[in-house]
Amino acid sequence: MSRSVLSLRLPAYLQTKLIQNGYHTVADFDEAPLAEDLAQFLTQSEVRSLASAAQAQPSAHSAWSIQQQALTRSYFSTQLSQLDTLLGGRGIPLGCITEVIGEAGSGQTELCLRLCLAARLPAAQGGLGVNSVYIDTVGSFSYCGAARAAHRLSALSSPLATSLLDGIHVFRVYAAHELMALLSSFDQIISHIAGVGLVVVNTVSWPFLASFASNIARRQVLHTELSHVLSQMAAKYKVAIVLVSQAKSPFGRSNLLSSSSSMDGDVWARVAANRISLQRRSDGFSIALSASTMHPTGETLVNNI
Amino acid sequence: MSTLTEEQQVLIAKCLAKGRFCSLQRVPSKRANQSICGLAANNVVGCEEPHQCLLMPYSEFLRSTGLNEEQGQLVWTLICRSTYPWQQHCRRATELKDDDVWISTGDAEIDQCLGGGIRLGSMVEVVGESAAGKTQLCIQLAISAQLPEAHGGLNGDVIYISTEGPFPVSRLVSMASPFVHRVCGEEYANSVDPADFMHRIQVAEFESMETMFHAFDYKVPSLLSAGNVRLMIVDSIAAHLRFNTSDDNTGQSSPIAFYKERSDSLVAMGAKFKRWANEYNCAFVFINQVTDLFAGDSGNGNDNDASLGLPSIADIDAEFTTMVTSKKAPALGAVWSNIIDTRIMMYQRRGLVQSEFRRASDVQGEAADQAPVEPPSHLLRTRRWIENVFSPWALNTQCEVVLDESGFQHVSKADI
Repeated sequence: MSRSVLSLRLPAYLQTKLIQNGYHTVADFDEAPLAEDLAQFLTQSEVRSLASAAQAQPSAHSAWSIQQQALTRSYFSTQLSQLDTLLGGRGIPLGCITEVIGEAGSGQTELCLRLCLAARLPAAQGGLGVNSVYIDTVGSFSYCGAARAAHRLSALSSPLATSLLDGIHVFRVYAAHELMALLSSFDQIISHIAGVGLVVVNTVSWPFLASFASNIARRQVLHTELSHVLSQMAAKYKVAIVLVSQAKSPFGRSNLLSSSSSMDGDVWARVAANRISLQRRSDGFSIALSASTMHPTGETLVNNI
Repeated sequence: MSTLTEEQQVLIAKCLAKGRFCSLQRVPSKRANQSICGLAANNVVGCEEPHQCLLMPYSEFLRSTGLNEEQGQLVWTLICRSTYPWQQHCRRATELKDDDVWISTGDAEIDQCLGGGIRLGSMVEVVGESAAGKTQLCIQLAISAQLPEAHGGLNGDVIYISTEGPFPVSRLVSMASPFVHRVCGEEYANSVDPADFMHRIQVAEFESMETMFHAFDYKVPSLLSAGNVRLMIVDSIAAHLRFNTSDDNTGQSSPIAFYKERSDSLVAMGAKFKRWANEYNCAFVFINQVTDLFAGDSGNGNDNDASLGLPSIADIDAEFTTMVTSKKAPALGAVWSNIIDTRIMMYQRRGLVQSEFRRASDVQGEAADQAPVEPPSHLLRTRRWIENVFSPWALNTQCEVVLDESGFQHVSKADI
């Protein structure tokens, strides 16, 4: 059995052209006199790429090489010792997606602000000195909120707090297509704002809900597409991506560690390395690591995020 | 699969050849931009607008338009650029300092409890049981927003949407003078007339959900676009949305369909308001009712209270409290809770005012540290609190307040 054209690593339009003209497998164009027939509907460079694609074999990496990659991964501390402990003592990993789920008022925005500031701290204090991109889809970002978060981080002097705040670049988007346009332009943004290490999307559920309130199927398709885009983005640019998703309401104590407590289902959980659930309690905030590819699950209680 | 026509391919080839889009610095001509985006959209099934092309997987986009890799990339980039020109939208946190503008409540302590007051550009909910004082707080904000900037106001207009009966004009009139007196001082207060505060409040009353949403779509944007509105109050958002009062044509009203329709309407409305809040630089305050919670999610009562934004009994610093133990939650559910930025809860409890109790005990000659078993009922007072349940700019704090003719003011610790 010859390889199907669709399984070759070729651009989609090229595959379509081949199939339209009757070439379904590699055997089909091996038999034909290559140059003449194909040249009728393909350019020279396309014919060449065809030849190389047909010969390429799918590649595989050894588990060892992947582990080597993992060992060189950077982390930054969240500056909340209990949360750092939950995250294996190291904090938020770069190159991975972290999902944060919580209901309204459970501290999602506070945690996002904390992470933006914590990432900017110098290495001596557990940070990485990196800039952050804060994608605000709900109007949660304000200077005063960020300044207060900086104050809560530690007893920082005001010039130091200002330099931390300077590293946060805020983009306000209102609808799903704006979010997609922004993420498509990400490589330009990365080169414009050098040294980005963290991307926060607060929240990732709202723009799709706002654009497709009644069409849950469409939302799920878009979420899945976006999850792949974000996964590739995190790996390619070696940034930590923090996605805040809205919780299904309201989850009681027992559901905190459940895997499908997000309003979007488990679409983000499937690509996330860590999943953090937040809940407000009468005596503080409960933070749980409800799922992780790296650490065991756990729960902790803090006074303030 | 539809491909671009010969003519369209030629147009794209021309643009490619001229190298118009090669460099990021050079801005393509608007006409070429639009025509290319339009072409792309027309060829994609189900897209009327270019930006809808962004809502499908990139590979599907290429397949539908029939563009090759290079052309597809360029068209995609063009559409992204025209949909969301990121260079114009990128702002550092420190540049956003001037965006923090607040409508004061007239009382510095209450303002501090809320993080500064009511922030322009935010969606605020004021929730509480009936007669908790929600409308009075909003009237206070309405007056404050109109005050000149020299006196802590924003010199702005106010829109007041009333759904639970007529707008309480008499309360506005009776509050205006004492409030201005308290906040701005005697000199300014004597120079203004309470009637001055009525001209700049636009009131609209709606008796049903449909007329209310229709107004949100048409009347409200036109009022907002005048540019001077700093505060819009919806009193209340819950009135027409809580129960299924409208009959379907079939005569049967399905509760699930009703809740679904309601959350869709709320989401659509919320998305619109969020845009307007930013575009027109005004604050939206929504008054919400509370709903009873029925035993379902069993668990520690305190935990549930806190997660729903209600103060737990232990948090209230009143020694003897008698109240109807009620498990209540803000109405309209989690969908609504996720749309608002800030939740302000107003509640009252009957409690003992310590200073009065001590005075009474001294008179009777009892030892001050001997607490009687039951508080004398004549010393129980209705105490009120305003609580900032959650907000992106301040932590959860409570402020005890007192309501008088001039509106709400904080109660200083000495008086408790």
